[in-house]
Amino acid sequence: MSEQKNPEATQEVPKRTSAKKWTESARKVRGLVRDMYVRAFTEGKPVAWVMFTLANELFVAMDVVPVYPENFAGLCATKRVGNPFIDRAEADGFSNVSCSYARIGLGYAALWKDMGEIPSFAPDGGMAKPIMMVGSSLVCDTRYKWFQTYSRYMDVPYYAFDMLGPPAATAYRPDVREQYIKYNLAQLQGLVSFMEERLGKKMDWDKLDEIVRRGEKTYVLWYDAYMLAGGAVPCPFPAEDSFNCFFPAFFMMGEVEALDFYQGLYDEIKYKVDNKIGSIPEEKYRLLWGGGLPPWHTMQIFNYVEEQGAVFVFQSTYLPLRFADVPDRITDPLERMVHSRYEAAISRAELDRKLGLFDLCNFVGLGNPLLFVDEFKVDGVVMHWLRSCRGTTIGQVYQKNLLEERSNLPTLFLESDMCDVRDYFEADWKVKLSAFLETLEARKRAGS
Amino acid sequence: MYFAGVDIGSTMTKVVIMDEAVLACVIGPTGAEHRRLANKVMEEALRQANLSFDEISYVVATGYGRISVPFADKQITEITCHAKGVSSLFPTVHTAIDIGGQDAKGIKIADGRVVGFVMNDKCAAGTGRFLEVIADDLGLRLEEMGELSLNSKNRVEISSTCTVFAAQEVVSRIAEGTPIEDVLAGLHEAIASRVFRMVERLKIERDVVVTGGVAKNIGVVKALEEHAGFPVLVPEEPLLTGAVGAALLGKELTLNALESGRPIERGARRLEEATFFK
Repeated sequence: MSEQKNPEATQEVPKRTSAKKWTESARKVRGLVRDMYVRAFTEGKPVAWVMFTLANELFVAMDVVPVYPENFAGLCATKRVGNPFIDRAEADGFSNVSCSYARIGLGYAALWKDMGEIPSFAPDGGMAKPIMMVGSSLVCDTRYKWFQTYSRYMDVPYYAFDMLGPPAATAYRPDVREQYIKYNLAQLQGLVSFMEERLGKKMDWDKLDEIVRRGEKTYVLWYDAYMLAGGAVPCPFPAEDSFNCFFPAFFMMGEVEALDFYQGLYDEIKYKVDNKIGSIPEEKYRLLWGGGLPPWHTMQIFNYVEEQGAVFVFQSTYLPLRFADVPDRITDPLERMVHSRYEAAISRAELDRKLGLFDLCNFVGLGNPLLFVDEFKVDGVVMHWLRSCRGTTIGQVYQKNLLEERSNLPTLFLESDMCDVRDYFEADWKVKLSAFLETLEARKRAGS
Repeated sequence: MYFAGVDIGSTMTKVVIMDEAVLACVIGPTGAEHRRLANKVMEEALRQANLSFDEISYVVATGYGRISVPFADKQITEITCHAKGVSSLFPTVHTAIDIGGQDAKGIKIADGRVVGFVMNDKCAAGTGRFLEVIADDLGLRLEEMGELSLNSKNRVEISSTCTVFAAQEVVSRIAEGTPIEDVLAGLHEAIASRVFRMVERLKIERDVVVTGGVAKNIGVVKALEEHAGFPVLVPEEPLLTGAVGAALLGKELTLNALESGRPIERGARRLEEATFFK
């Protein structure tokens, strides 16, 4: 690999695919994303390529700039420059149904190696050269091999850690809790040891404690802001904004800017709710994005339904974690991290259990749409079948059947992919969405 | 009062003009040269009905080309229009299966309105295009494929996954000496199986009505009946249900507006060429 390029060299792609932003907070996110990539080049700090792990606090504490290839893939899709990376990954034999987040990152690494420099079309200057890779088991199984493969392309050490979500049926049992917490703690301790070895310095535990406690406050604000918005009529914070605003929670947790961001988001939503300020002029239909990652390549599609009087009032894909207070007796910051995540996971499992639902939940995502349809006054549910993401597609038919049985709500399946634009057919999406809205209208007229 | 429905599908453009009954219906090709000439199909229908364009109270456009029709007052999706058209012809319908030139769809209907639908996605297999490709390869006319397949004694299995693969498979079967009727029966079964699996997601309920150009193929209809385990219904002219539904919805909108004293929301319509490629 050769020298990295100056981020100023990045070329902007003229075609706009992103959705209109309805909140000031959502408008700030693009700048935060750009900063992440630029900082990795300019701050002179060590860089790690990291899987979304719920452990960002460790990188903040160790003065490492984490760069998240999942986010980079979404960014490439938004700019419609992901497919050259996908083509390159497929040329190396990666299947066209393997995760498109992974394919974009793998193609990026492979092209960098081929060309001896970062491809000029990489948005925001691309991902800077890392000194370590950190993969995780969280959410799906592709993740272990994905980052292991990066480490081979980039020739940097790799650490994989496990973050196990507890089984819903037994998570409340003290012996199960103890075992899971012990196991997850050992995994985080292993990650800290790996980082210390790579960086040649020890963890500052007091600093980490401060960062973890800041993170706890941030998670609460994130959760409160999203839930406050979901139930508000008119909707002040449509799903496309919500899909933007999870960025600091996923990729900046522990930083002061993340806490400030969610305080700002909460305040903005609260103001709009108190003053009944919505987004679209006439809210005829309230929709729930009930599963599946969004189509990052064409987020403008959300504006298409808005033009017809419909708004996605909530998305249950990137659900905030509901953090319980961690007891004061737990003073070790790693233990606090593990406890809070465990409690957040079982609080969601507990909701499912109360509804008598089969547990499909883990630490992130896959919130059951049934949990939200009444509270958020939803008229219809749209789900997204993704060709290359089993993790968020599995279970959707089960959820659709549940919705029909228990709430009699109409549901719509859309098919494409989160990043691979070859799987997207705009005319088909528009027909389906328009027909779905016509169905909702007919239903309203019939009084059902 | 007169109402018109215009259904611009991928293969055919259909226009229906009606008052209490259908006064005129015209079916013309949508193909690359003709698609911008949907107005010609409309003019032909007006000629048949002996009406001028200004005498038409309301025009609804549907089908994949609906957005580009400059002479429509309103655009409504083919899902809603098909459901309306089918329900008007068969009030007992609960499931409509429409197999057109480039897509196939299933519509669940209750009390004449749509309660759910599914559509195929980005794939010619299981659509009229599938039959067109094979007919072309075999030098057959589309119209004769259905009847021919009914003579089959030993239906062969043809892949329903991909039109290109299936075409290769058909050619190699013919080269092996398999009778053409057995190959065609396999082909029809491949379409029926694929479409049935998709529509079954809606939980198929009787009566089932099959529409679209492929409904004219008796081989596919019989294969669908095999899957369903009961007879299905086919309109006399299965291509026209979308246009009929569009005209009926136009009529409904107009009469509702008149009854409630609201103004009729008309588009700035012009009977001129559609602009698909602007």
